[in-house]
Amino acid sequence: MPIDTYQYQIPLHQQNMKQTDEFAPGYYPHASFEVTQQVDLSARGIEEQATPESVRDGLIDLYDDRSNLNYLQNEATEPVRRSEVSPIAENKYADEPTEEEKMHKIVEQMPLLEQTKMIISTGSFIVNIVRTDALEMSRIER
Amino acid sequence: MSVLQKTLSLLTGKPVAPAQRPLKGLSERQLIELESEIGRQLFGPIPAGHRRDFFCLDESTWVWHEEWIDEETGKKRSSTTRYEAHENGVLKAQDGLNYRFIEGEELTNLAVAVRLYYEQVMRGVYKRDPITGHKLTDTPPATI
Repeated sequence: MPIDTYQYQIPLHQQNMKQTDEFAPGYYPHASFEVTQQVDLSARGIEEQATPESVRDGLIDLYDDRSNLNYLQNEATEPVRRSEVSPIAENKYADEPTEEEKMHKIVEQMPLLEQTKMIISTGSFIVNIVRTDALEMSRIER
Repeated sequence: MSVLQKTLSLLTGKPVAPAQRPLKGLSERQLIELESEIGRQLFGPIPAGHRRDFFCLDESTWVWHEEWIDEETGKKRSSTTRYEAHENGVLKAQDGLNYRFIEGEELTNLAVAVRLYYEQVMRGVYKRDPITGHKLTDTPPATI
């Protein structure tokens, strides 16, 4: 059976940047996406049945998404600093848990009620960012 | 996509080429309508004669709107429910009723709906991977 694959792209600012410590305000890194690799999307996503367990998993995913999408908000308000995205900076303290690991720990220890509330607020937060980004890109292209 | 395009796609086995820049020129209201086309399907079949909308209004508000014709009076009825995410809970505001924080099954169902909405809108409307946030390309890569 053919694998359902799509190409996905990594924004320039998430690649290993060496030339500058921060982007100038108004710079749109996603305007210079480069195709870098393929991923299998068929193994995850919208087909799965929603259960309380998947809701908990979804919250962790949403936290990750929120981190991944922060650049959309940052680019509109402030430059993205290299220290926030550089793999070198992230691995500076190899023995310590990463921010992602810390967040997973916090979410796992949250009561289900708190997790559920967080899903709703985080979901709307991200949808709003992506919608705003689409509007902004549309405005620039016009 | 038209029925003809779908039929041709089924017969030839070739996917229909997506329109270029489908979101270009759309207003926020139009984007929300596109999102709501997905949102209204998350809660199962819509009763005959009903119109339903479910969408994310802004960064803290979800809206459920339902319209139908009252069989007894023949008049148009509607109901709008707003869910607002606050730090201390999710507030429900419904026409003419008191505000209250939702809990239990209603809260869980809303969270499930929000997650499904998010995942499907990210893929279906904004062509982004809901996990990474990266844009999906329109055409799949060549395979051997």
